Amino acid sequence: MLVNRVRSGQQPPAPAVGVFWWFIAPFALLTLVFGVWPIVLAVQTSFTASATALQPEAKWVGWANYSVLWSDPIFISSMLRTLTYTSLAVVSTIVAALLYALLLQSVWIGRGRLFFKVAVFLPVVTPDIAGYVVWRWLYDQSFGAINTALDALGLPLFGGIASTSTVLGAVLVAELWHHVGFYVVIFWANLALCDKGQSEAAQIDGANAWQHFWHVLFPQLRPAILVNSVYALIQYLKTFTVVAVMTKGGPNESTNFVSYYAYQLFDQGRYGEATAMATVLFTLILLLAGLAMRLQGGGRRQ
Amino acid sequence: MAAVDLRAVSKTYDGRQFAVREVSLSVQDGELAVFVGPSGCGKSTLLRMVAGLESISQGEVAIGGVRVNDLPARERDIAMVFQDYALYPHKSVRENMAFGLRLRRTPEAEIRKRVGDAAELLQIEPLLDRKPAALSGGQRQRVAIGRAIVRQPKVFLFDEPLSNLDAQLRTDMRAEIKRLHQRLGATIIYVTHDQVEAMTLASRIAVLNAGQLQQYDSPASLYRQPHNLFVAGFMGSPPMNRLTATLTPESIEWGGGASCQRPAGWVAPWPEHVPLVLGVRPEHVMVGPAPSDALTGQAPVVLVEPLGAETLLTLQVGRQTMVCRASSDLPVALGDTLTFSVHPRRVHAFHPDTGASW
Repeated sequence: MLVNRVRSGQQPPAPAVGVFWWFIAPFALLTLVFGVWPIVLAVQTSFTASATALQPEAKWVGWANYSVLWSDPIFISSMLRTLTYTSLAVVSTIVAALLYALLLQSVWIGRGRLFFKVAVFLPVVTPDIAGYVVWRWLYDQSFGAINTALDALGLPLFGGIASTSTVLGAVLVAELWHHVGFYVVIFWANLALCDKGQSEAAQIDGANAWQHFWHVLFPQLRPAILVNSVYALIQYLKTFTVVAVMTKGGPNESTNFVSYYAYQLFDQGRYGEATAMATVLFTLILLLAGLAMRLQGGGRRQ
Repeated sequence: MAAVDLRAVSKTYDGRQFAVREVSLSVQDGELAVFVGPSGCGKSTLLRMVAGLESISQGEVAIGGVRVNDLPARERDIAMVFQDYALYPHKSVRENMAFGLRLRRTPEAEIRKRVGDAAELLQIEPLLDRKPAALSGGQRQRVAIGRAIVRQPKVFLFDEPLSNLDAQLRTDMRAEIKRLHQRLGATIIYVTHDQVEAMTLASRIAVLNAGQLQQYDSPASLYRQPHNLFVAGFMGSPPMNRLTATLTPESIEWGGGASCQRPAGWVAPWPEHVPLVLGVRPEHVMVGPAPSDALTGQAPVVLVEPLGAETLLTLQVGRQTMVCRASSDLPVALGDTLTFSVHPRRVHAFHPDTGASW
């Protein structure tokens, strides 16, 4: 009935729809000015010569900055490193967040649930720089808490962010600490939406905890897994803050990810190459996100 | 197949609020027992305690003579059919039915045979490779029943399985479940709020109200000898008329000046000059010429409800009303005063305070 009324145009009056544009307008404007416009400028800059990039009459060089990138071994290795780190980080984030969400949902943490919730979400709302500074201290070779504890226990010392073999893991742990709570919330919300009837049917069918998870919960968690994967992919491809605060791309370039390398080049006044690099990364992220959304669409149709 | 015994089973929340209070009953091997009652009466909770989906606060549940209180659902060897079917949406019909057997590591050939047999029995063979989303409500419920059958469990539990189906389908499925029970000879506990479903299916019915067992009896006994006013009012459609009354040596006084003549020679089994609640089923109220051995009175018709085969007449008896199931051939109009009569042996008496049968 309501639908008919709306369709027949009796009510609500047509101008009411126009009001929504006014609600959206301020935020749309902010996005355009501070979000889209800088991206456009950056892409534009990537086609100009670095020396003239900041002048009103910048010199166009076409794809020159891009061809420089492909012959820059540091860029190539930094791109490979970024991709490796991202795959590792996305998988660990999804697995850790899912396990933690299952923990939050399980009956045997009882009254501790509030504590576990706060513990995982507090880092998300903590300023990231502050968090990473503390992690840098924890990893410190001479006075860090981790090595002090290992030393006291007579165990071998941990290289942390000082050693090329452990730095990626150390950075990843710090990033997980900061980010995982967000993904836990998404999984937790999805778990709360899972069909209780199916779980009971599985109990009666004879499923143990693992079989219940794999056959009943996991298929229902697809939406959260996809959203979390896409979001994590974007987030880790952009990894910057943790590197800037903890390692400055070191030791020996081993955490020099694309966004940090671009930042370094920008700092050196190589604007054209830096923005070309950023544009490559941006395009990659757009493509991956688009692909993931398409996969989800296909899954839903099935 | 196995018997199910409930011994003083209670379910409490916070140790105070009783959802189910000291229910004791036995379901014999091969019996179809129905738990019936209004919503919130504890019938589903009771079933879920048998299933192992709810903990048992007090008392004992035994399946096949073995106490199962502390066994998880998956070790009780029961199968359950849920109101909302609870099929696994990402699995095909075949896999839905096979799932319980796979978890129990049944050989593949055996799985194929049992799923095939059940599908044939339920006439869902053409649907085996579909997903539940591609099925109608009735088909989904068949699959859910199939999933239970292939397990060959000790006991089948049905939790309001027909509530989500439309009226016609419900009637068909009801008959089908009854045939299935006769064919499988299985022990079934069936929960419903629909007393017609209960009457047609059950070998015995447990009527529950406010968490307490009111009566556990065959459908015929429940109908003929309700133990209290609640059972009398719950079973039968329309329900039994229940009127307050007082007996005198010559009559039954309904209050408000209305009365019925007592037939000569009838010795009432209830005391005189004491308030009673008398129950009479609508089908036992006769209109027209009264037999000499019946209680006889007169009352105006205040409502006429033709049902086709018969007509429901509501009579004004003093300040109370009495529904009567009359032949649709009877010429009657609103406001007519009719002579009605009831055989004394068709009258039930209850204590007005406790509601218990006199």
